[in-house]
Formats: sequence, structure tokens, C-alpha cells
Amino acid sequence: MEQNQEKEWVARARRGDRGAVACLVDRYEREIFTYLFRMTRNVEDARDLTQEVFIKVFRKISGFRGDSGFRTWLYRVATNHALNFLKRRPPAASDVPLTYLSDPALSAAVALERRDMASHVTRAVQALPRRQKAVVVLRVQEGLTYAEIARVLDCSVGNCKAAYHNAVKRLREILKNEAIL
Amino acid sequence: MKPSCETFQDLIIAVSQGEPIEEGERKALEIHLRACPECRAFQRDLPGILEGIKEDSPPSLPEGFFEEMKASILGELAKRRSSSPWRRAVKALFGRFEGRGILVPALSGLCGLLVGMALATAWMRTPSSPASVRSSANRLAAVSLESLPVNDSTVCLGVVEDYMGVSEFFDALSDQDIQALTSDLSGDFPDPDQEEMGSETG
Repeated sequence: MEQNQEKEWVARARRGDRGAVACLVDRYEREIFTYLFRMTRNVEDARDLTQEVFIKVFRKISGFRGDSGFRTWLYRVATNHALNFLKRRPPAASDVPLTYLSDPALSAAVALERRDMASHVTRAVQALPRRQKAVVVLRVQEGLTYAEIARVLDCSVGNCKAAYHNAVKRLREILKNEAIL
Repeated sequence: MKPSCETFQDLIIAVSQGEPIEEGERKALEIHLRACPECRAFQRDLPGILEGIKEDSPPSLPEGFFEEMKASILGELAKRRSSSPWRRAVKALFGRFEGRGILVPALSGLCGLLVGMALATAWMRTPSSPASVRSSANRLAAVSLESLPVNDSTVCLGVVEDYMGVSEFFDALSDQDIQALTSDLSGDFPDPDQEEMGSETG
């Protein structure tokens, strides 16, 4: 049902319907902003990149054939923007704010321990090579399938899996070297 | 680390991701884990690492952050769209063909037709009459358009828009305006036909 509605919005957006464009921005701006924040670790940079991504997508929407879903296409444009941005400016350690979900059911000690671990893992993710980092964020945090990540990064599913496995091994290595594990 | 540990750690990650593995691989992994403390540690550490990645949430943002961002995106898009009424008209006419690989041939055909019409009209008109000046202007515009690379929709839209703009300009001029224009020009650029006649008579 939602997918049909989205297809309808995309079709209307292609014909220049501003209402449909607004609906699509509404649906995806938080998700894309969060993804770009996880990639850049900076609110201002993530906001600027999100705006650029949406403007680019809707300027080019007439060329969107719908072979992959609109969401995957959005992630593809966002990932290209993020990778280019990180090439110019890798995130500094100070860019990593320590804001983590707190589960009210957890005891204070366990919650603290988990927050501590999460902050170390987040820092370790920032140390990964750009494409490995994108694969980890897309897979674990954004919940994309390997097939979707392959379309986003324009590579094979096998390459995506290999990049993910290498990234996870590398993360463990970093955390072990820092005596976190 | 034993040479085979790399392979078994890949299997541990695959299992954690719910990827299907063969029964033989599952059994081999079980046997390996019993004998290898390094891979057991890897299997133990993995959930903590993945949980750590998942727990990373976006920062707390000021109220109205996303509404502001949406308004900014829509404002920027509207600015670009309202650039020209002609662009919108052409888009409305041909927008449905975009992305199907026929927009460029269709607009190229239209440009070709306009060029043909302009040339045919020019040949049929008497030189120096106001109508001839209009058709010459059309021809000039069309020939200029022909030299442009018509390889994407943006260029096509611009081409048609520019062509229409030139045509409209000349259509808006009265016959007297055009005669005044041509008489001014004739002083600088003598008509070759007149020159020939002059030399014969002279």
C-alpha cells in the first residue's frame, strides 16, 4: 500500500507536482539526515548534504526509471555525496557526539556500560575506510539488504558482503588494540 | 591465528546476519569453535560490536529542525523551477516522454521542422519586405540552434525557449519598425542586387 503510494508520488513528482515532492521530502528527510549524520558525525554538514541530496534528486527525477526503488536511489545519491565529502574532509574525533539511546528498563550500571561500549564502537566505525564505513552503516543502522547496498554502491553483492565482513573484523581489531574487548 | 580462522570468522558473521550457510559448513564451524579459543572470542565479541553500532542514535535537534530543512529544500526547488514560463510549457508538453529515450529525438525533430519551415518561408518571400526580415530572423535563430549540441533535455528545453523568444520579438515588431530597421542597415550593408543594377546603369 505504502509502496504504491510512493510510486504515485514519484510519478507525480516527475510531472512537476510540488505536493508530491513535499510528501517525498517529508517521508525521507529524517532518514537521510540520520544516515548522513552517521557518516559525517556533524549536524551542520549532515543538514547541508541532506539538502543537496534532495535538490539533486528532484532536479534529476525525470531520469529516474524506477529500476530500483526510490529509497535505494536516494541512498545512492546520499552515499556518493557522503563519500565525496569524506574524501575532502575526514571526520575529526571531536565530531563524534556521545548521544546514545537509553533503555529505561536497563539498570544504571548496565546502561552506562552499554553507552560506553557504543561510544567506543562509534569511534572505531569512524576509523574504517570510507566504503567499509558506508557498508556497515547501511547494513546495521539503516537496515538495507546486501542487494540494496550493492545497488547503492554500484558493486556486486559478493563485494558488499566481503566489505562488510572485513569491516566487522577490522572493528574488532581496533577495539582489541584499544583494550576495549 | 590459524589459516582457517579467517574463513570460520566469515561464517560466524554470516550466521549473525542470518545468511544461509550449508549444513556441512555449520558442522565444521561447531567443531572448529570447540578447538579454537580465538574464534570463540570472536563469536562472543560480535554481538557487543553490532549492538554498539545499532545504539548510535542521531543527536537531539532543535524543534522545527526538519520543518525548516524541508522548507529550504522546497524553496530552492521552486526557485529553480520558476525560471521561465516557456520552460514550464515545454515541460508540460514533453514531460511525459522524458526518461523514455524519445524526448531528444522528438525535440530534435521539432527543431528540424522549425528550421525547414523557416527556410521554406524565407525562399518564398521577397527580399527586404518586413515578412522576409521576420523569416530571416527565424532562419538565423534556427541555424544558430542547429549548431548547438542537442544531447540532453535541458539543452533541448533551452533551445526551444530561445527560439520562441526570438520569434516572438520579431512578430511583435510592426511593419514600419522593420522597414525602419532595414533602411538603417541598408546604409551600412548595401544590397548586392542594387549594386549590380547600379553598375549596369552606371
